[in-house]
Amino acid sequence: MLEFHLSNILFTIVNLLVLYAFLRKFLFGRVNAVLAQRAALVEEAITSAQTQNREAEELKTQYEEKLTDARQEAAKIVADAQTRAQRAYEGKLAEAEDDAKRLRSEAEAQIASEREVMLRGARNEVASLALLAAAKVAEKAMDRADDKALVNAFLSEVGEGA
Amino acid sequence: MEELGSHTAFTIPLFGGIPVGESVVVSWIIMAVLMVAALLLTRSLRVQNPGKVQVALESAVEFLNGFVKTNIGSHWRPFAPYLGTVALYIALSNLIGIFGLTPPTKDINVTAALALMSMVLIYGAQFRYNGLLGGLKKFAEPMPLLLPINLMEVAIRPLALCMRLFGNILGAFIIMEMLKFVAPVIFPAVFSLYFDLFDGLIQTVVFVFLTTLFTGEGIKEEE
Amino acid sequence: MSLAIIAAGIAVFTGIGAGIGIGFATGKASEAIARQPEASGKINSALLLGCALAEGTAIFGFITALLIIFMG
Repeated sequence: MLEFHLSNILFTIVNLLVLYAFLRKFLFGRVNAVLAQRAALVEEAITSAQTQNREAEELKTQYEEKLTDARQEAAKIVADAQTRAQRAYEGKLAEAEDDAKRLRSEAEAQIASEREVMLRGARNEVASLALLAAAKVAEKAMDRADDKALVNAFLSEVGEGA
Repeated sequence: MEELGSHTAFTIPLFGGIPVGESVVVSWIIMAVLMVAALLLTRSLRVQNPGKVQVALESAVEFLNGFVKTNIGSHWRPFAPYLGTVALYIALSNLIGIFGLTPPTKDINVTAALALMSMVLIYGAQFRYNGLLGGLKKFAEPMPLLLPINLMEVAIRPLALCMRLFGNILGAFIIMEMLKFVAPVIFPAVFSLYFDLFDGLIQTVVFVFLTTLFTGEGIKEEE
Repeated sequence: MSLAIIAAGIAVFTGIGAGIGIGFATGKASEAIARQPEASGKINSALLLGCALAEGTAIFGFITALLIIFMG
């Protein structure tokens, strides 16, 4: 039972080596190859996912930049339009004010001239009345030219004083 | 008492007759079974959408790889297939008693061969990965005082591996024979569960575990 | 022959040592697992190794007994 046979030991060693070579090639080799392939696949998937993620991130930042740009552009355009409108409004306002001022000054001038005319008329009237009164007082006609000038001078003196 | 010994199945008529033991013949059967099973199982491996069988096979191989990696360290790769082969061979050898064949591990020649190969593996790896001087220096670890003990271990380790496997299987075999002699009904079946299945698998694990552990001890770097 | 059989019986007494050793180891391992259930994997492998080594003693006794019976 405990006798050693060299031949049996050698046979067993050969058996084991053959079995080892066979299983290493056909069992462990194949399964390990599949495992390695799957690991590589997973690695690749992760890498590609990371790359895609980074690309998406870049695109997003680009879009955001563009969006901010566009927003700034829009704000600028609106501000431009506003300033332009403001300017136009102010121009219109100034024009209207000018118009109003002009109209008023014209009206004032007209009023002044009318007043002048009226004053002159009134003065003439007053002068003629005064002449008439003076003629009545002096009992003589004072409608000569030098008389009239005298009265006028007097009236203007009075008017300046008044 | 005759059946306890290892029989000679036939003799090759060369060089004055080379005896071929029964265990070697049973080993051939086991090898054939393992080879056919390996070919069948790995026939259609797919990287994507693996089948149920493939998933089981992959998890088994991954378990083996992880086990060897934890015990041997960074140089685990070349050792895993050999340890897996030994595990499959011993497990099937121990279990084949269930099918009525004589377990090859009951023959001390087989366990001696296994232990010799383990010894070659352990010390070969020690010298292969540490160099000649480094390998020799490993015998003086953890302290030079233990040098004789470490040198004795070179012989004791394979002897213990060989005798442990052989003694367990032979003991189980003897007890089973005695049980069959005492109570030939039911009882042998129940005890066969323990002695053939449980003990056989435990001894497989112990043999492979010890070989892995010793190998790792020889080549692991100091942390 | 009868003396050889007695000798074999004495050789098998090594089983006592192995039994005590494995019993101690298993008891301590149970305590350790009760204290730290999360480390049960490592404890189990250490226990397995220890049991295998302790069991070696009994196996050597058994082999010795066989040697005495069949060789002596």
